Amino acid sequence: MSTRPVELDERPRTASAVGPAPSLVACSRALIPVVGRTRRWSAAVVAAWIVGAAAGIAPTAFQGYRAPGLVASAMWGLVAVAFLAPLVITPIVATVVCDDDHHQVAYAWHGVGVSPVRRMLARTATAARLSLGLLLVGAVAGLAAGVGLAASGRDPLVLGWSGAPGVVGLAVGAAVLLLAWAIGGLLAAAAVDPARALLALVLTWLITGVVASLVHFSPHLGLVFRLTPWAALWPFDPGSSDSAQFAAAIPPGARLVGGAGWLVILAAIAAWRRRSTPYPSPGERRRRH
Amino acid sequence: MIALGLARAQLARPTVRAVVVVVAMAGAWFAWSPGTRFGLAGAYGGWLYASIRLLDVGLVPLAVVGALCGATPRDRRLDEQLRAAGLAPHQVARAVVASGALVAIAVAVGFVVGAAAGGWLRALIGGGSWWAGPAASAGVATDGLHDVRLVIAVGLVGAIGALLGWIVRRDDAAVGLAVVLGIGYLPEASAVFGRLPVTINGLAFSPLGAVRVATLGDRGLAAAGYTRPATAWPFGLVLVGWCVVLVAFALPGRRRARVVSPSASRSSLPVARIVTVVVAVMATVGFGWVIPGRAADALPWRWQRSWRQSEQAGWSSPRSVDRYLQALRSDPPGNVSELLLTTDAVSPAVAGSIPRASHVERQSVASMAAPDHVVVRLDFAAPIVSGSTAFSTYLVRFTLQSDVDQHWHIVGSEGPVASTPAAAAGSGGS
Repeated sequence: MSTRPVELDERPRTASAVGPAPSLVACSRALIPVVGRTRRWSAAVVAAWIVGAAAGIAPTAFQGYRAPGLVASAMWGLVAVAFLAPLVITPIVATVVCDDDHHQVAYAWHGVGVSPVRRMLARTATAARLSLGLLLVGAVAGLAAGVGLAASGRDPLVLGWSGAPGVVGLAVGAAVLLLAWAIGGLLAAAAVDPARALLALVLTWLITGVVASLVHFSPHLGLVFRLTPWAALWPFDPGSSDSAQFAAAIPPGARLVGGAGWLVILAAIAAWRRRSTPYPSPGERRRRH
Repeated sequence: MIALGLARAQLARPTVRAVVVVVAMAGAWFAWSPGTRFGLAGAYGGWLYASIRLLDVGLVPLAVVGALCGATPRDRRLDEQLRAAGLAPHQVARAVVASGALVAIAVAVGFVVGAAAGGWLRALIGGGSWWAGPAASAGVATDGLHDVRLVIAVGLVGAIGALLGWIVRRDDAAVGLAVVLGIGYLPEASAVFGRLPVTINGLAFSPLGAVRVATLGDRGLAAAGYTRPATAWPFGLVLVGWCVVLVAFALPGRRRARVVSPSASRSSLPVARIVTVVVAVMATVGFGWVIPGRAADALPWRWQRSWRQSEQAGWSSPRSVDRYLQALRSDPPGNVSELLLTTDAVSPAVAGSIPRASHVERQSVASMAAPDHVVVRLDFAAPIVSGSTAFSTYLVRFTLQSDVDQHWHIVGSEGPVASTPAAAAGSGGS
């Protein structure tokens, strides 16, 4: 007997699904209480708080600038969480989207007429929406750290935007955040299991770092480095980092092409995986045909 | 036997096998070190050269597979089945932790194979022995001791990962925790933590950091230039302390069911949250109060406030040199007296050669070792003949000093020195 999963999309729907299927917005809204209750957010809040607090004082503590204004400190906290979204938010989006498959409740969505694609889009949208709260957490932490910095008397207290990130910084932060959501959703669709999604993410970080560690000693490897998964978002630039080994100047065009290429590959893997098995089993048993 | 069975089950997982493959590839990459002068040729040479990487880049995958070994039996309720089969709870926990150590060692074997392949690749491409070069080994006893220490360390990393996984009970949470613990020792993390020396010391006291220091006698970071020799035994004690803490948390039956009335839990929850938030805000305010001053003083020169002030005022050392070059090369020559601390700060040979050069290029700020020396490359359209040789590129080094207003003035010069192509490339144009 074959144990190959049955293609549920080809089955007749249950009575409850008779009528129009719930829209993406309705699915996303319905998921908010469920997704919001997961304890992963606690870890993400702690991470966002630490990132925001460090960013609130970063201009003074790590860059040699005067203390930013209090609003600017909050903005630095917010932008830092967005900048580090691939580390802070992507894992949580990926694991949240995997939950239905992991707990084997994905079938229930089929019962109400929601396709796997729409279900995962709804989960991604919900996780993304809730992750906006992490930006707020980063901003509050940045503000608190900024208050401490102002209280130390190192620089005169400034309330406003002085020393805040520029428009380009805000735009890049927003783009990175969008990218983090997209990567999280696609990774979940491809990996199925939360632990596997996390592991895939970590392995791509490792591969990128391992290749980067030799580029300084062998500049010919620069092209190989640009082909690694996270080279598009490599943060160590000669202008902002004094690490001789890891600072690499990657032109924006190369970043764009490399990042788009990896995104297409990830999307293709996710589409192939879900097309072949819309309701994959999260277990790691090998299939017998 | 149970531990062995659990370990074999883990090694049959595609996820763990993927980790083994990636670790083997990393071993090959580090041992091969393509295009660099570093590394040792040959299978054993590759292992000797790359083995240390098991405790920096390797820490994350080793801890992750250990964490999976600890968390999966609980996530999938295997521990309950083992208990139902008659095993005592502590026996189950012990078997799970031992399986973590075994799987970590198995992953390390993948690294050994990869490193050997990398060494062979180096011998194939660059030439040399297929086993190890003549001076590669420090002797059988020393190498053996090093290998035994590494195996013990790898087993410990796996066991610690398994303990963490056992405590957190969920696969994804265990993987996340293992990554957080190991990520500080990734080589690229040195680019961040190296900026703040206090974090280097802090990392050494983390569970995996203590394993690393106790094994290697180095409490530094993974990247080149961050080696910090340290005595191993105090960190061995730290490691023992961590193990005791983790075992105490992992011991079965530690959690007792608390009978709390629903109304009491509802009323205590907001209070606990408020207290947590207040404590977090106070701690963050304190962090903002104390850390920036101390951190800023320990920063490299490019990130010091005095340097920023010089840059903002247009009086940083490279800017002063730029203005000096521009003044000398303009027609008629500009006034350079305010840029020089003394009138004879620049030698006539240097001052005379700058206007005659067809192109001048000052080294970039990123390539400057210190703020008080700036190198300038002078290119001449017609090579200057000296004896039987002719050079078209010369280097000049300016020495500068800052005044009380953080304005940098030229106090001396060296050169012009004929430049070889390698030296010219090293000057790094801006």
